[in-house]
Amino acid sequence: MKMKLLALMAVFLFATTPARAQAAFPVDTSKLAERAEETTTVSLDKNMLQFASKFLSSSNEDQEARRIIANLDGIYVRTFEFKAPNSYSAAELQGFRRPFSGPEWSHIVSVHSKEADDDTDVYVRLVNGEVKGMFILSAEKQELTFVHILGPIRPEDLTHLSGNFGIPRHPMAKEQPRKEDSQ
Amino acid sequence: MSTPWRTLEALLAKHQAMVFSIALRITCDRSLAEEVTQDVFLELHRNLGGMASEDHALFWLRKVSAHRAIDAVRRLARIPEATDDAAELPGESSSSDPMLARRLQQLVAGLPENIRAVIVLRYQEDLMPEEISRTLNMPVATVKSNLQRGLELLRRKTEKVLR
Amino acid sequence: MDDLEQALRTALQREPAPEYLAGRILSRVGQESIATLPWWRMPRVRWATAVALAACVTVGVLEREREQRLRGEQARQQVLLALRITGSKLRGVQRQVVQQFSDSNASDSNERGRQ
Repeated sequence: MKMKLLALMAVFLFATTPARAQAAFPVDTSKLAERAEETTTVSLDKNMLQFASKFLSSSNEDQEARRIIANLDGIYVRTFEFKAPNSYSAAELQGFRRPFSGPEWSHIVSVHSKEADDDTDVYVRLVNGEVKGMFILSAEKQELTFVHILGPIRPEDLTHLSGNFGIPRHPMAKEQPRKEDSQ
Repeated sequence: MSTPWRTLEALLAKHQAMVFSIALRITCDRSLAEEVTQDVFLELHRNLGGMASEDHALFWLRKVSAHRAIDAVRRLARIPEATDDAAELPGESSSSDPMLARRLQQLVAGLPENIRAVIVLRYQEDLMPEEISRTLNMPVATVKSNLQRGLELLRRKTEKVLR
Repeated sequence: MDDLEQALRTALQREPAPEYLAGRILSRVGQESIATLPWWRMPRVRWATAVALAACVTVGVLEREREQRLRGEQARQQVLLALRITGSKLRGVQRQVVQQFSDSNASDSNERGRQ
């Protein structure tokens, strides 16, 4: 009986641990890291976000950051820059998109920019009609970027990402007022 | 994190001339331009960790250089001298004429600083009006009208030479 | 592009900065880094401080606080970096993303209204 219980616990642990690890960053990018000339990695779980929040200053940019991350459960970024173009294949790219073809995820945007020669895919995770996560895959000739955000994201947070943090506001973007701004 | 471009030394080596030139053309004073350049890179050093990409760093450098240079000019209320006399110019025009180049530099220095900044970003940095608008936080329409006004002023003063 | 614009491009070519400027900048950066260190990390004071406070318990406490502040600053920079990268990648598709958000919110509230 005791052995059966232990076996059940082991199964539970092994079943959930990979899922928990996968939730943080759901695609395996280790092969890309081997090929990349430069890699940028940012991994911030909820604890780290709350810790970082204490050190954000009173500047506009920091205050905006504090608002955006306040309810998030994590932000994970991987950027791979390659010396030469065609350092990753279309098949690999499809492989990175596969985890988001499930019912939990909605593929809300898929844009190919001729001018910049890049592809951007945006997926959101919906739970009871609310956005509880976002995955961004940006594929350029010599750069691949993955962004995984866990937790609720509001449209106004996305608008405020542009125009802050040193990113010029997109010429077509309209400012979404924050609910607290209008009160 | 491993990003070789994200060091002060690398960005300094690559963009020092750009920052210095923007500062020089806007302030029209070498020692002021040197001060502005130092301040810009000092500020870059403080903000280095937050640069998302090399392009972002380049945009940031242009923006801060232009703003700091304009602020420096306004603080000192400098009005560079520019003589109005086009008669001293030789009659033949040549795009590689060093005298013409010096004269144009002098005339650009005599423009109001907002127009000067727009002219410098357009013809030194080869930025389009939309990019200049983002760099200077100036509406695109104002950028275009400043460009037009600047060129008209310069054209009037150099038309004998550039016929 | 007319003659004037061509002439302007030539006249306004970038000038190299004076050779000594880079060294001056790096020196100022170095001085600033030292100036912002807590006094017990100043190079000339470091050894004297270490010897004087070697047996003192407060060194450990102060060090922990400093490390906490450094870690906090690093975490802050990581947050800003993550948001900047996200913003730059969303910039080109922001309008579509926000539109999809608004559409899904609108259809969701319509659903709730009908219920």
